[in-house]
Amino acid sequence: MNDYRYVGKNILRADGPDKVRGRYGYLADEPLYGALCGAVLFSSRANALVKSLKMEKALELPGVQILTFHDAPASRYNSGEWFPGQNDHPDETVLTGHVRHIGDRIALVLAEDRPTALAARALIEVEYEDLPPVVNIDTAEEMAARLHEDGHSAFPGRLEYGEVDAAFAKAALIAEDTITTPKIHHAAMEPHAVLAVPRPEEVLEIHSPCQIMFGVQHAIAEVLPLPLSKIRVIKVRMGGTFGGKQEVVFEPLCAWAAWKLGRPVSIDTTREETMVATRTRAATIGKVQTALDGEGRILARRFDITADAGAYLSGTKKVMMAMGKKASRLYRLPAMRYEGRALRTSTTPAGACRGYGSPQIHAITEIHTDLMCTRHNIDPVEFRRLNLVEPFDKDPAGAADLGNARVRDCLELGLAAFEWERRKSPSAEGRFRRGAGFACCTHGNGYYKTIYHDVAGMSMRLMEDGSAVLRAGVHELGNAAVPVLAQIAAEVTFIEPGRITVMEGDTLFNNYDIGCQASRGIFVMGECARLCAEKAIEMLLSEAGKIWEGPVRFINGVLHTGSEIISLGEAVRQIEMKRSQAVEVHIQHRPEFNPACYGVHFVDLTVDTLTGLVRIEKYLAVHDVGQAINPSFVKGQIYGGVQMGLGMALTEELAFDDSGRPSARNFDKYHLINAPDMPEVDIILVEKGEEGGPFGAKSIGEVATVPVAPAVVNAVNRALGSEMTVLPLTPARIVAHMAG
Amino acid sequence: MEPMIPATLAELAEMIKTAEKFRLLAGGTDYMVAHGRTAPDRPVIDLSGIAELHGITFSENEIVIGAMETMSALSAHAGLRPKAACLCEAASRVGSWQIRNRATVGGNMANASPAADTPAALAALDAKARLVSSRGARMAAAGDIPIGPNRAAIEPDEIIVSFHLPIKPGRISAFGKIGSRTQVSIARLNLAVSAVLEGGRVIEARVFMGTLGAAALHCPEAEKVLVEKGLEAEEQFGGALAHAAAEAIPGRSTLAYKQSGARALAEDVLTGLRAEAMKGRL
Repeated sequence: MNDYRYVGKNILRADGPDKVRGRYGYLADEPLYGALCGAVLFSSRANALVKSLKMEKALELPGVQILTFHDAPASRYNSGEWFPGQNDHPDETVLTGHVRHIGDRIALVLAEDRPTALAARALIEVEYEDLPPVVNIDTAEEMAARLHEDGHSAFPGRLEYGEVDAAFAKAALIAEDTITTPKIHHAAMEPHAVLAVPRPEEVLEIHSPCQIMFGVQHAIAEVLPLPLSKIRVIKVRMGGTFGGKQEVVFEPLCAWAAWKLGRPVSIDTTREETMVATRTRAATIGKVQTALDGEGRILARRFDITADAGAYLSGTKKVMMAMGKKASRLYRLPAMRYEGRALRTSTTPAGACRGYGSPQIHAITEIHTDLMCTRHNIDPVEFRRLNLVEPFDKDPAGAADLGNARVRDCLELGLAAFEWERRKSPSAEGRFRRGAGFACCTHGNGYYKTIYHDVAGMSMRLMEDGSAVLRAGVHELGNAAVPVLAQIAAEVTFIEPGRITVMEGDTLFNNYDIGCQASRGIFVMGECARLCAEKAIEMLLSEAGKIWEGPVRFINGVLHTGSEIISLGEAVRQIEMKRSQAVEVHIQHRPEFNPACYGVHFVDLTVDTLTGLVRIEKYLAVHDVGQAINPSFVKGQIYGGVQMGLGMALTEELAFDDSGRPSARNFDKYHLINAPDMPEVDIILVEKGEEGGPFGAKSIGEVATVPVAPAVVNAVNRALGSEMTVLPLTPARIVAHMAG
Repeated sequence: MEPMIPATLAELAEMIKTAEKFRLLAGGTDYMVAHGRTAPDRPVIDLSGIAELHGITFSENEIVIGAMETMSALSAHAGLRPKAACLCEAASRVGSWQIRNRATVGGNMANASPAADTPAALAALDAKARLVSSRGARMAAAGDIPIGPNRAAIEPDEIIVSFHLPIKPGRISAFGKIGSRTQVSIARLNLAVSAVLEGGRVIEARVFMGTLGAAALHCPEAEKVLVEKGLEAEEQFGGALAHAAAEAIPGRSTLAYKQSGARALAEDVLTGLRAEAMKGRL
């Protein structure tokens, strides 16, 4: 198919052996000698004023210090704002005396060791004055003033193009559905942890398993009177994030405590604390209306979306707007109106989560699409054939062109491989009902042509022994972000991937980069690595041309002069000695494309109508990835994406009772799909190249989880002849539906 | 604080007498979740060293299972399965491989989680627990031990030494469980049933359901269905179980689901029992 040396090959990742042997130390595994251990005192009330804190007993324990909301800076910040001036509404403080959800931060208890800090925390008595909790999204707007004093009851947003009302007026058919998607815990293996270390010359060093190091730097500068240049953020080894560590949670608090006390401070959390006190996928309620012409073509769509931000706005308005921006990139929508709002409730804050609104908006539209087709006797496949976008379509909403959009290839390949025609009819008798479903989706590749800037900076040095260092501001999230950059640089330089060290994020030593978000890792940073490696080779040849006579050519990793063949390392040594010149280059890459990537997933499943349990019988994921740099990494992302999506469809839900108490605080009551219940996932990759991506590659990590939930819900609805629209389809909901 | 590890029941009795408050550690799978993150607040007595608590032995009339036998040991015991299928099945459905390698049948009963899997199975098999304290030994019906959520009819100074399962000719049994997943799952509902067959007829049945407030709820009405209508009467058997659930947890928000689950388990367990009957040609 191609004659690449490394691209498209399943090269093993360098961190794999240590990770599977448990030798890959994470932040909490390698405590810094002399650091104070911080235990956050979390609220046990959903909405309350802290009237008093009785801390005498706690302070009697050896070496205990307690910082409370009385001591903390009043400066407010927004945890989802990653660049100065983004104007995300700031409503959060490092500690608070008005707690707004169970798990809100009241105080930080510090001791020389963690057991003492925990023991001291347990001795603090908190007296609360309870306020009414805001747990019902329907009344969140009218109750907003009980939760926040800033006068905002809602954070609305709107997108519109085309003649929407005229389209609905002339429609042959109008369909409408309301779909509810759940609040979800990211369930990264590593709970949240952070370390802050004051260094000489007023440098404050933050060790954080983060996704946007310069965003962490910005957030800390919002609460501390330090210039950005004195805040050094080091992205440390991370045990997963899925967006949960994209926003700052404990970083500003930890940084402030270390700065105030002049001591290193670490904050470590348990699963329960990470679950109730960090971030979640925003729950949404989405009403969608579709107007069709007589042939079944979409004339227009209208959306009314409410996103539950939880106790603080966080990045939820951004998520809500991102949902709208995805809506015009899957089907050809001549006209669209998208009206949405983020509302605050006294529940765990929402924020970024794998797909950043795409799983929600595509669950809403794809479940609606199937219900509309069933109701009006439209073939769901033909509907897609009639309405899906075509390659190189423009986005009518004005965002970047779709590029080599291969969703139709995904659909047709999938229909054939899955044997859709054979499977599509449900067996609708008896206790066990079988049904099949599918769903389509799209996601992006960075920030080009959005309201945000997109730039990646990297530098590379070729070493004297023919190895190389690539200084990339990359954040390894567990998704192979680092090895894949090495693989790309290897393809250009012919240096084996194992001899290229990719440096992870460090704000002091890395070039500016806007972070590992928005599915820009491969398309933007990967392309930056390719360009950087190309520039290094260009410099090598140009400098070599000044030493050796005649044209110098780079063939299979060595230099050919007129008379001799010189190894890369030898050339670097000669250039350094004879020209006093290191072979070192820097590049800034500003993408000029932001194509869409696509996925279509198919599922065949059986519903036990008495227990409500769903068994996945067959699963097929087809993805338009442009070019797989490393197919095993791509498949790994898809397997994980399916696992998360099945949870969103069937089991995962952070629910809260009337008093704002979470129904689940740990994995005993919060059910992920586990290995025994994971189906075999068949995968087909469509690799037709994408302009602007490295070797034609585009994103997979986020989009892989997007179509799962709607495909599963569509299959269940087909199996049961139902119209269930409240996710997840838990056993209790399925059984309740069967009871009528 | 190091745990105390007695080697005999006599040593254990001494430790219990001297320690004012203490915790008994069997497999530790509940203890570690509840207390594993912090230093022990009370002396811990580790039961793993006491030989009298181990072993699965068979005599003509009964099977004796040491309280410290693990779920893995019960699941894999070739001799046990033909005579106590529901117990082996219940043990094999507890938690994960790692949990089953540690968790003990005695601990499962003493902890008395309403969602425990083996108490219902032991009760269905008419097992008696042998309990020992400094005041002597006594026998208690397995079904009488779990009396509420994490409440067991065991005195603070008593321990379960063993379970005694009577061997009855013609007895078959089966176990069913509904969790949130197929494996590594806490029961939302479980059901253990034994039946004594004679000439193809059920002459005696024992039916216990778990998770309805306690680990082993006795369901006499369902037993009556089996004796009167046999192993085919799924509909009526399920109805009787659903009725028992309604009486046990009236008005609870989970009741409707548990009733539907009871009907599912009725089908599954009777299917299992019929297969057992075929195997034994009873």
